[in-house]
Amino acid sequence: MNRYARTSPGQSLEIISIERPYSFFHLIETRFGDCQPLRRIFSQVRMHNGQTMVIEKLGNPEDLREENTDLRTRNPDLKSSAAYRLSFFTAKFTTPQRIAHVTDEDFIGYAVVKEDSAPSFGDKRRVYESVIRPSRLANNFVRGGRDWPCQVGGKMFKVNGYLYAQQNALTNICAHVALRTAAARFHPNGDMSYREMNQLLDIDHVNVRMGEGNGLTTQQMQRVLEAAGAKCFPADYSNPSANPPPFQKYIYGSIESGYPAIVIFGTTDPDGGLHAVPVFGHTLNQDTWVPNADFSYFKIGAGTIYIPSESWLSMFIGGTVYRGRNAGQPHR
Amino acid sequence: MGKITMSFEQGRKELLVRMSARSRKQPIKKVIPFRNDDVPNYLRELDKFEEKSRQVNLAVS
Repeated sequence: MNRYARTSPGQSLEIISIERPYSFFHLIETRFGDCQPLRRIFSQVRMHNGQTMVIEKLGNPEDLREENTDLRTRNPDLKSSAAYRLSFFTAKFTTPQRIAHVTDEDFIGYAVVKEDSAPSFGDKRRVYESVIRPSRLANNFVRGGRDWPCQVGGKMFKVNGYLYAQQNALTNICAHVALRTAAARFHPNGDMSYREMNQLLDIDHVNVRMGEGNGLTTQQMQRVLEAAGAKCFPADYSNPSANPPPFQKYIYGSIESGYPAIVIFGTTDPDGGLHAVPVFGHTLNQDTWVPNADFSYFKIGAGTIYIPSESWLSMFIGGTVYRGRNAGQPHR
Repeated sequence: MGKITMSFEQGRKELLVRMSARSRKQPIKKVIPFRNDDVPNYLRELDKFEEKSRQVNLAVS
């Protein structure tokens, strides 16, 4: 069970009551620096009425060891690496003995925070991975999530959802983390490691390096997904002469069938690089007025006998590297 | 909302007439013909679009 940071035993254990007026702002500023996605995770924990947090320092599970080996290959001056697992519960408890009585229903999810340090790249702190159960169940629909096991204080819990991860921009970039989220839906092991992706693409961190403007191509991303067991439907909207179906239809059809999508878009980044985000759910508000009004008041589409359910959708749900997990992304 | 006295088709035509009269411009008519028989063609075009998309190689960094 020491393959993954999420299931490996902790080396230390700290139990913190996070009931209001406990301040997550204070915790981030004093212990985790400026880690934006962690703020989003804490916000979601608050939304779930989190009462207790457990912080465990992790040892050297295989997945972290693997990443550190690859980091050292790329940056031989890697000085130190540490990881902490933060787990969140709706139950109140103050002693490690009480964890035995806490159930999966009380388990909101977890986040593994990794800190790497080297003279060549400085101090990097990021959310290595996190799974938090979906919130706002009345109008948030996440499809195809799976159970993720997580050990806390020696007891195994499980949480259903999609894995969120943040890139280190050295041995993995945004395309890797989007692939990791999506590939978990198909991969026989349930999680595809960055090393597995890099080996598949001959990225050795010496001759072929990630970061500093280097990334993956869309064809490489397809190769990774297909190796994980997915069938890919690429849709290129960069060619203005093409007349494709709206991208929303592609995404909605895929996620509603239980299969995630990856959206790639341009940014204002001066290097012109594209950014990738996974999408695995959507909001749907039956009170949305416009689709009904189109039909009844404005007589739009007189011959229309079918209005797709996608018309009531307002946001796609996915993860973004900088803004965190289960973030709503515009549909229009 | 008053009692419905006309079909959607008639309602739409009437709405267009009223709007045209107000704006004193001719409406731009855009027809997207699509029937059940068109489904095989649509799917063929979709396959072509996806095949072309597969050839595109964009860099994500």
